[in-house]
Amino acid sequence: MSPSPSPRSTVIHFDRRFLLFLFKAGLLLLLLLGFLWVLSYSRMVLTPLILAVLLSILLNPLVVALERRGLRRTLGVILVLVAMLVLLAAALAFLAPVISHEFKTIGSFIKEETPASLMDKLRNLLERHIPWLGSSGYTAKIVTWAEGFLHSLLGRSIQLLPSVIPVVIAVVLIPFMTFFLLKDGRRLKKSFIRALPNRYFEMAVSLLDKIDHQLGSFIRGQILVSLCIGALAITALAILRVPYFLLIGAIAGLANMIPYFGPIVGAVPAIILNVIARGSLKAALPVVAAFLLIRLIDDTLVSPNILGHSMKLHPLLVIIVIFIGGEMFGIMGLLLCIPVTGILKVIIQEVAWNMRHYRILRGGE
Amino acid sequence: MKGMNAFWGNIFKSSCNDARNTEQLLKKIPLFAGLGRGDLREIQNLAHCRHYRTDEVVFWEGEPGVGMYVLQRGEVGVFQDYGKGRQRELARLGPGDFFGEMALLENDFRSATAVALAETDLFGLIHPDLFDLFNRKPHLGVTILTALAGMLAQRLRRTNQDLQQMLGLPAGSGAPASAP
Repeated sequence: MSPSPSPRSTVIHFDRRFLLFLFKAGLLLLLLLGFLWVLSYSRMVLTPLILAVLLSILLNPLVVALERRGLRRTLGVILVLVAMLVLLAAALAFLAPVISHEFKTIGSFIKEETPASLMDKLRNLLERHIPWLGSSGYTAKIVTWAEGFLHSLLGRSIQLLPSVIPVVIAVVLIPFMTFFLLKDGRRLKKSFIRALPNRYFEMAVSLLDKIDHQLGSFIRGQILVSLCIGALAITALAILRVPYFLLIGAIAGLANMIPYFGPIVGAVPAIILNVIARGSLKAALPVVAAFLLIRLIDDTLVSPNILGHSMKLHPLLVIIVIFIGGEMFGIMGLLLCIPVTGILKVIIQEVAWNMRHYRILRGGE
Repeated sequence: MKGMNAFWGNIFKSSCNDARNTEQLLKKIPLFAGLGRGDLREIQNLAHCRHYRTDEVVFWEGEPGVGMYVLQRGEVGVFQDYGKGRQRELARLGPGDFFGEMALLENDFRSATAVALAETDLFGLIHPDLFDLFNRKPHLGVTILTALAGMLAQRLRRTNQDLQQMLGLPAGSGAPASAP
């Protein structure tokens, strides 16, 4: 909570010292961007690092809860990580039969169906259920578009195949990095603050604390909401006997992090697969109804309770950011653009507040 | 050049890292008097060691308060209207003294400016860090905040007595704060 406004004048005077501060901040930002640029050339490190940071933010409250019970932090971190790995292993063991069945059916589906046979099925389906589309030439257009989409999808899947080795490395790196981030996070922050000049000390401490709090609750909230939506989608699709319900439900949960577009990304594959599997367009209706219900539960129960009204971003800003993120960094950009915009929003808000209240930024010293 | 020295001085501090010295110093602070060795080490781990040059401002009057400082070495002056014609010195503090403790209780602005009057080493104990520690170790929070409340009660009692003297009232009359 920010204190009430200062009784003193809040008029901002820019002077040489403030310009120098801006120059230094810009230089620091450039250095940081340069560091990220170097890291981006080694995705093998960057992706596990981002995931480890997110995981450490998610798990920190559990470690704190253990510390409250008298455990040392290192022991608490080890216990939480071991518990997480055990839970993950148990979930994998429980889900392994379902997952292997899904992969087997996907395998046999690929063997049986060629893109051409799939397109024939789609053409037949459209001609049988929506005959007026054929007369106006739209069936051929839809089939051509779907064929192009399928080819690009297959191309992208093949591009993803060599990334199996980095995935194995990431699986080893993520727990390792998470351990050190959780154990030494406070020390790292303190070392950073130590390097700052005295005149920025109090301001930096206050800024870092506010960013830490807001960002932590935002990221924890987003991950929890995605887990809830993923679980709801998997349950609903399993009840409706949609093929590959586990995979699609998980995608729906993950895609939920992308506002507005995420729910569509989750629902569309489920609708298409159910329609193809049942051979009827009517099969789309229960899936659409299920996703609408999940949306309703998310909007009325899940998000308001978990996220509250923290870090609200304007819908127009969200849409612009999603397009920029997707265009520049692909799927990773789509998933991370909202948290990154959230971070920037908090930083800008806090810097603006500090500019009004700290003498060093008002140019009064 | 001076600024650069203070910058590197904050990174490569020697005196602040002396664990035994710090523990002895913290023990002398009334706020931490009731704490055991392990708890004192926790406080010590939180402390930000800062080195200030002569005439360097620690914090300014009217700025948001984020924590308290314990003086390890040197001298600090507390001023009102610092740098203005009507500047008034409120206190002069030496090693073992502490200031800015009100920032631990309220999210308000500093009521005075603190300035290093000599080469000074300070421990900064920051509100969010301390309350994070209280969240993890509630018994520590109770001990420290009770000590702080006791100190404030003492100050209030003293202020009441001063007020009574100023108004010429007999001691103990109509002053609820002086009740046990």
